[in-house]
Formats: sequence, structure tokens, C-alpha cells
Amino acid sequence: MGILIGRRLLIGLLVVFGASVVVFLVLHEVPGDPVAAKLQGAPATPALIASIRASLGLNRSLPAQYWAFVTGALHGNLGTSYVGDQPVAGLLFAAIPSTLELTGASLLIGAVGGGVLGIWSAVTAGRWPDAVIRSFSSLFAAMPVFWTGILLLLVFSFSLHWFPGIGGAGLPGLVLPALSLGLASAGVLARVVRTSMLEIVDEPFVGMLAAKGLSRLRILVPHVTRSALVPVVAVLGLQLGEALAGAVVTETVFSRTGVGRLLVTAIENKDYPIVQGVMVFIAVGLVLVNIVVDVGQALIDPRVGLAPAGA
Amino acid sequence: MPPLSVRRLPLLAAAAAAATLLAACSSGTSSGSGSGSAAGSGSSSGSAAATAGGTPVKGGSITVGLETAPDSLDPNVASSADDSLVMRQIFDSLVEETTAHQFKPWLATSWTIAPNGLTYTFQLRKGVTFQDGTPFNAAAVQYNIERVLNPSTKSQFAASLLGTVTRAVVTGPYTVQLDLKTPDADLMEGLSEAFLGIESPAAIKKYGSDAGQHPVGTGPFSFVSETANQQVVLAANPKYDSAPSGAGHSGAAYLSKITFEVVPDNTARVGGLQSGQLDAIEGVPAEQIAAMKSSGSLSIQVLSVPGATYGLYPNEKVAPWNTVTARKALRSAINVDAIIKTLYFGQYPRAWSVLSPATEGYDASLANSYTYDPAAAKTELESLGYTMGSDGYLQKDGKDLTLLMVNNSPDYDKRFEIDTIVQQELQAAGIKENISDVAFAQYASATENGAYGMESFSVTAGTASILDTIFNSANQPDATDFLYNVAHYSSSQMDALGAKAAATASATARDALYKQMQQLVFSSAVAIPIYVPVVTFAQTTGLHGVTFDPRDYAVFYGAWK
Repeated sequence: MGILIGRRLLIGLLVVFGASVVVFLVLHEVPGDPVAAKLQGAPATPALIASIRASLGLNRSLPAQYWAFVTGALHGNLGTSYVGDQPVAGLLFAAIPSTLELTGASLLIGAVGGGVLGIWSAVTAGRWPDAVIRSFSSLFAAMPVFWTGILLLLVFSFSLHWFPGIGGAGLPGLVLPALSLGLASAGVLARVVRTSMLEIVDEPFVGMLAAKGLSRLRILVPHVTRSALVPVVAVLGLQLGEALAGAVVTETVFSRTGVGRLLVTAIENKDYPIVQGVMVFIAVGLVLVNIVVDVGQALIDPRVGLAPAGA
Repeated sequence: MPPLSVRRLPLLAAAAAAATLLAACSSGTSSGSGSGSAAGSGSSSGSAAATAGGTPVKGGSITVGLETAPDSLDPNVASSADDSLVMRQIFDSLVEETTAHQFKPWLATSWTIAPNGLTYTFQLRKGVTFQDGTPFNAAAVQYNIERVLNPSTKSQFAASLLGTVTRAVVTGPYTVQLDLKTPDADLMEGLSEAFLGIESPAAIKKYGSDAGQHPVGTGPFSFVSETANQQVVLAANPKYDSAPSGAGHSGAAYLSKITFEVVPDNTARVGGLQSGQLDAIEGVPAEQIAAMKSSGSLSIQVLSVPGATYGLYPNEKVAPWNTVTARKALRSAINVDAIIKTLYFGQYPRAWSVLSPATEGYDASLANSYTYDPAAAKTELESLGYTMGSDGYLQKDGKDLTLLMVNNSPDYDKRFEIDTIVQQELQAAGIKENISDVAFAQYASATENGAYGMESFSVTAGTASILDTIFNSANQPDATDFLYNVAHYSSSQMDALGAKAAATASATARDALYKQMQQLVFSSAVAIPIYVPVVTFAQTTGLHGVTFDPRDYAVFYGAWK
């Protein structure tokens, strides 16, 4: 197990490095210029532009800029934002709790909702509850998160006044954003759980349990569910990535603070240090989650993960 | 983001030209009466939203939806329009500019300006304290001014408002003197802005580079807390008693609390207002303005921004745009009404002059002064020797008639879409427009070399002297100075009018000169005005007494709910 984790950490390091290079290059290739963003449309002389460029360190070669970023990051210094001159690490850490709250709550909704619906759907396969669940899970999985968010906002906040829609702190304010993200996860997971359960139903051990006289429910829930969890955990890991991506949209729609909002604002302002810092944070987060998922799978199903292939 | 588009930096260039204006307007010992004249003829500029509604109630709290998060609440350093909306409530300025463009006492009770325009002496209000208890006095003002002037403060906008001020001198406990290098007609206007609001020196020293997160002024509302990217909370300053004379009441503000929520999503912001979760919002999307106007429970202000309207400026250094005929053809080929209708749902005013209707001296007679006529445009260009080529573009010597549009303006108000519409319209007239989103560095050198066919911008500015800034032949951009005359327009008549206006004391006579300048811009087709930038502010009818300063920022001092 230790070797497995070590290998994954090494690969993860490469992934984070690769992601940081890609983000860095893309940032410098997309149209727009941080100096222009900083000037906000003010006309400037070439000399002023050059001096701002130099003050932001943008006059150095790309490799030199990247090297400065990497060495800084390794020392825990993610640089200073262009707008407002704030340390990026500080902005990031201030934004993380709110995003963790949101993604955590949405994954909970996704896992519980998806799990229950998926099992129910598998148990009633071919009958009407299955059909209804499948329709809704497809719908939730397919709806863009911002659309779900705006619908929830219009209906449950602006019309029914059940939940705060704007800047809501605490649990009431978390419900709608977490739902808009969680419904999408639940939709995907319900389908995976259902498929996975139905596949396992065909395994020989299930037939044996039936032959031993166990009821259908007692076979499905404890025995089949455990085996079916393996792919589900993998998908759940992927969903965390989706939730982080969705947080970018959801935090904007629901006017929440968080890593996603930080990123969106930074991209608008061409605030390279923030974008780089946030992207590296997300890359590290995803790599860690994937390691946890791999380990989790190995714990649930001893056949998984210990194989040296490392697949 | 509201159209605080192009900053005032280049106004410095105009300052010298406008020198005598200042001396003429405010020589002697006028206490508080500035360059007075009739109110600007702005469409709806400035006046109070004043939803009539009985006796003000104390103690209310409101939530205001902002479109973008404030970057910093340190006015001497910050330079974003949203920052100004929040900062205006916290910080008072030395002088107040009324909606009629007169200057009235605020933190300064009176002032004198030396006849040569190089020394301003302000008598300050006594008994005022900052929200942190620090006394307000001449030393505090000096500290603020010197801080803005200090290059290490990295103040861009506030420093530009100080113009040619070289230093601040304390000449008495409540007397401060500003020394100028050259006279600056726009200094009083600059001093009235929130960006030159007076900050607590003690707070600046205490918080250092975090001063933008801990603003302390003398204004009617004190800063309580900020959650980055989410909200700013202000509470009434109970000790406040230094409202400007035009405020309508004195003492503390009626509202006890203002929460600014950052709501970037348009649907959420408008929905939040309609559902009553927000009491007011800025940045109403153009497509929602009509619906709000007809709503019984909401009211909306669409305020024209003073200064230069958003317009296209063909570069006269590039043939054939050096001829009036070609420029007029270009102008007739662009269907401005269609742009207003398509992109702004008819809600932004169409610009007929380079000067905004909200600026004193606006020439209203320019309305409907020409018509959209692509066929005539083509004929006029053919008179210059162009013939229609097989590719559908006019040609001369085997080359297509092209126009390189350089777009440097930030993409708000759908400005990039204007480019696309113009491109299609010019195609119909046989002109091939290429749009270039050149990188900023190349843009600067393109500007320097005059290697572009057309440029666009709008400028927020307080006075019609912006016309001289944009069209004076001395204000053509070059390697050392980026100036606004991107059209490279050079007319001795225009230069003379600008100089004469700057030297004219009578507001009526000056306005007449500014109107002549606008007429000249029109007859020479130097610019193609498109739309008047606006600031939108919508509120529920339950919120009363919100007023707007001449820069169209909401003021909540007299507001109640």
C-alpha cells in the first residue's frame, strides 16, 4: 500500500507540474494583457506600459517568469496579485473554506441522493420507479450547472422566498448552491450505481446467495451494493473535479465567495498570479483526491489497486 | 462595469491650455462659489432620485447589489468605478461639486486661489474627526495630498486628479495650501471626487498596505467589514456633522447600515432586486431597462456620463481617411440607430456629438444632423477614384479599400460587438474593415506609428475642455505621450477655439465656443459618435432619498427606508 501511495504521489507531482506549465503557457497565449487590464482602458505611453510591465515582472522571458513562479510556490509564496497587491496565498486560503463547504455539501447530496436513487432504480429495474429515476437522473446530469442554479434561484429564492439567494451565509445560504451542484452529481451517480448493481446481479455469487434462500432485497443491499461501490467511488472522485469546476459557475450565480469566484475575477482582470495559484491548488487537490479514491477502492475491494500494474 | 472608461491622465495635457480659465473663474476671494453657470443639459444627469415619500425614517438598513467587487477601498490608490460607489459613502472631500457644476464647501469651508492660479489656500472645517477618532486638520490634508503625490504610493487615478499640484503646505492648524506647477482648471473638480476623499492618517499608518481593506474617513458611513469578493458592510457614523450644504439635511445619516453585496450574475442581481432581497442595484443590463421602467415596484435611473461619448475616430494619417469626403462616407455607411437598437435595446442614448449631453456646453442642435446612407457613401468613395472590385470591395490601383480597426477598449457595453456590426455595415458600402485585437504593447506602438485606420474610446470627464484634449493638434499621440487625438486631427481653427474657450470667463460665451468646436468636429467628420455611456441604478420604491453626484455615483447620506 505504501508503495502504491508513493507511486501515485510521484505521478501526481508530474501531473501538477504539467498542469502548471500548461496553465502558464495558456495564460500567456490568450488574448488580453494584464497591463491593459490594470490600466482599465486608460491610455498610456509606451514608456508607462514598459514600466508597469517591468514592475509586474512581465518583461522577463517566459522560462524566467515560470521559474520565478515555481521557486516562489515551492517556498509557499504564490506571488502577489496584480489587482490590489494582495498575497495570492492569503486570498486563496481565505476562499478555500467556503468552496470546501460548497463542494462537500454538493458531494454529500450527490453521493446520498445518487446512491439511494441508483439502488432504488436497480431494485425496481424495468418498472416505473426505475423509468422515472432514470429520466430525472439523465436530466440532472445533462443540465448545465449554471442553468440549474438560476432555476433554483428564481423558484426557491426569488419567488418562494424559502432560501436566501444572495450572499446567504450559513446553512440556509448553502442549500441552493449545493443542490445545483449536487443534483448533477446525483444524476451521474444514480446511473452509475444502477448499472454497476445490475452487472453484479449477474455474477455467480449472487445466484448462490439466491440459492441459499436470501430475499432479493437482502442480496441486493448488503452484498451487491458493496461490490457495486467500487466503480461508484471512482466516479465520486471524478465528481469532485466536476464539483470544483461547477463551483466556478455556482459561486458566481449565487454570489458566494470562494476559489471559483477568485478564479473568475482573476481571469477577467488577467491577474496571472491568482490564476496560476488557484489552478495549481486545484491540480494538487484533484491529485490528492484521486489518490484517496484509489486507496479507498483498494480498501473496499481487496482485488483492486494492490496489483503492481497501478492501473 | 460602469463606463469609467478612459482615465483622466491625458487631461494633464489640456490643463496648461486651460490655465487662464481657472484664474478668470475663481480669482479673488470667492468663498465656495466656483465657476458657476447653468446646469448641464444632461438628459437626466445628477438630480435626486427623490422618490417622494414623506418624512425620513431613521435606523433602516439596506442591501445594495454591486456588479463587481471593489478592488480596494483606499481612494488614494484605488481606481475602479465600483470602488468609488462604496468609498463615496465613507470619505468626504474638501469641496462638493453640485449637479450644476458649482463648487461648494465641504471639508473646506472657504478657499482662495491666487490670481496666477498657482496657489490654492483652503480653510478647513473645525471640529471634525475621522471615524477612528483622529482629528481632521491641515496636517491630515497635507498627509493625504503628499501620499498621493509620492510615487511609491502607486496612485494612478487620484494622482492624475491632482494634476500639476507639487506639494501641500500647512500654513495654520486649519489652513492648507496647495502649490501648482502650472494652473489646472480641473483641480477643483478633482478635489471634489471620492478618489481625493480625505483618509485618516492614523489608519493609513496603522494598516499600511492593507489600508484598502480598512478605510477610515470622515464621511457619514464607517467601514465595518469586508468579505473579499462578496460583501462590504458600512454603518452610520453617529458623530457625523459635516455634510455639504447641498445635502438636504445635517447630522448623522438616516440609514444605520448599508450592505454592499457583490452579485456578478445579471439574472441574480436583477432577480434579487425584484424579489426584495436587494434594495438597490447598479449595472442593470440594457435588455432589462425597459421592463424596469414600466415596473410599479421599482424605479430606475439611466444617467448619462459626462465627458466624451463613445465614438470611432478615423486616423487622418492613413489615406483615404485624410479627406473629409472619405470620412463623411464612412460616417454615412454606419447605421448607428441599428447599433443602439440591436445591442442596447434602444435604452442607451444615441450620441450625436462627441460631447456627452451631461456635459455643460453640449450642442443639442447636432441631433439628427445626418442620415445613414450606404449608397451615398459608396458614391462619395467612387468620386475619390475607387471602383467596385469583383470581391465586393471598393478598389483603387488593384487594392481593396481597407480600414484597420484597433480595439483597445475593454469589452464592456458590448463594444466588441459594435466592431462586428460596423464591419458588416462597411462591407455593404464596399469597405473592408479588419478588426485587430492587437496585444497591448503592439497597440501602443501602432498608435505611435499611426499604423491603424480607426480607433474608438469614450472619456469620463467633468468639463467640455475634453474637446480640446481630444482634438488639439498638439495632443496627437507619439512615442513619449499617449494623448487623445488619435484621429491625428490638425486644425488651426480648432486649436484657436479651444484656447479661446479656455480663456473665456463667461460660461455662456465659453459654451458657445464649445458648441462651435462640436460643429467643426461634425462638419469635418473627425469622429463618428455612437452612444452615450450611461450609469444605471435601480431601486425598490421603498428606498427613498438616494441622490447622485455629478459623476453619477449614488449617495446614500439622505437615503432612508
